[in-house]
Amino acid sequence: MINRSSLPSLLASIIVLCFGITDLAFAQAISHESNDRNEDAVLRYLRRVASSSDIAMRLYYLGACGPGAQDLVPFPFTKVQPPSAGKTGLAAVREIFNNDTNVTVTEDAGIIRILIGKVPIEILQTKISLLTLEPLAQYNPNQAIIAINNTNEMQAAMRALGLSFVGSASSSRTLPSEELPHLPASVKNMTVEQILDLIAKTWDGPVIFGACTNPRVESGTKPFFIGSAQDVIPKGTWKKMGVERPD
Amino acid sequence: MIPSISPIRWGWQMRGENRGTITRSRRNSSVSSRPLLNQKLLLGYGAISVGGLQYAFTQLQQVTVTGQLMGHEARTTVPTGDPNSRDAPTGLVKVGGPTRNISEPYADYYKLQLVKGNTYLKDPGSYARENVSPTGNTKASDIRTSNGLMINMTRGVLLDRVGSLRAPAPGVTETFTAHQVYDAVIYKGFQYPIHVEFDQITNINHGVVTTQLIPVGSGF
Repeated sequence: MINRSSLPSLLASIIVLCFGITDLAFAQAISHESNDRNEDAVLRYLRRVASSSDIAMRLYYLGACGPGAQDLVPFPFTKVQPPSAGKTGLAAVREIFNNDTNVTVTEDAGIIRILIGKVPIEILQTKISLLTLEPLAQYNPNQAIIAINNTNEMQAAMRALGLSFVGSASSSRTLPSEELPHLPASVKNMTVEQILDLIAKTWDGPVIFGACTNPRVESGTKPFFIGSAQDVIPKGTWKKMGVERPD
Repeated sequence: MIPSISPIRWGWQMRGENRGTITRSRRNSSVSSRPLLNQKLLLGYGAISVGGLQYAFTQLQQVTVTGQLMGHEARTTVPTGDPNSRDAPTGLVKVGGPTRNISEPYADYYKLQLVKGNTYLKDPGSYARENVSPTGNTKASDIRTSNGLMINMTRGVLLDRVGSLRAPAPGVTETFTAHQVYDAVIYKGFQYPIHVEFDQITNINHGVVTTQLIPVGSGF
């Protein structure tokens, strides 16, 4: 039997339980697994196109950030399809995202730019007066991105914009060797955007930028991600082997 | 086009089924505890909008759709090598101790060598595929999962960077961990499934960084 006096607390318990279940669903919706699956679906096809066409790629996305997100700057769901056999370059990339109205694909200066959502890119306009790249950073795109992030200009821009950098977990580095693709030892007076374009042209595969519009609870800063999803191998390797890149 | 099934993907799936210890499996296991944590937090908050609920279910549906859209089609990819051949790589081993660059006093570099058994494989044209995910307190770390990158190995060697992305503040004391899996190697034009796992541990003690790269399982 439930007496009248216990009804309010019972109702409150039911409401709280419902809220708990709601959050459970939310957390699962943008879990690590969802993030990986969303990103893998996009990267799989982009890497294929990159390995069969001599093109540079930049991928920008608005992160599926929120209180239930388990990843920093989670990759959003994107409708993708494999490009048709024989299609290459811009046509192939456009076909991949043909069914997603949230995606814009453009090409300029020899670079294909893919935008998923409306991505804030102020940080990429940061101008770096001198970026010195040690040999490991010259030969490894994710090491170069760490060097970019550690410049005084980027640190100042992040403070000014209330942002925090998230880097790629990729930790393998190739040893410098002249025959491998590499960046110059230094670049002067270029924006971060221009330097990332340079990286995009040096290796096969997309250079990724992701951003959140809401701050992290822990730090109060909005996280953004810069990472290379490029193969750190000689450019055009798969084409020379006459095969497609393994997924 | 000759229809083929990617042996790399086959290897990935087999490992997941048999061992349940590859990156994604590990992450799944951590995911299972997180919703409960979130649920408890929300019990404290006691508020969420109906719109949020709708969004959550929409996202769940979309995640399912993603899988449906990822079809397999006939492709010509790198041929599979004979795992019993004289040149078939069996793994990557850590060689020597870590090195630290003066310009980057917050990270260590570990040398990994491609091997067949105890023999070093040094021919050109060798690439390893790596997958790395943050583990443990991922909210505290500043890295994001990276899956499926191919890395060139010069004379069968690559370097593995373990550490912070930047110089930590002097007062900072925390630990970051990540899990790394090398699941395939391309060597002399053929691909071979391998399975080498490492745990990467970065300890920051009052701003001073120390690292460990620990082989996991039966790898090495």
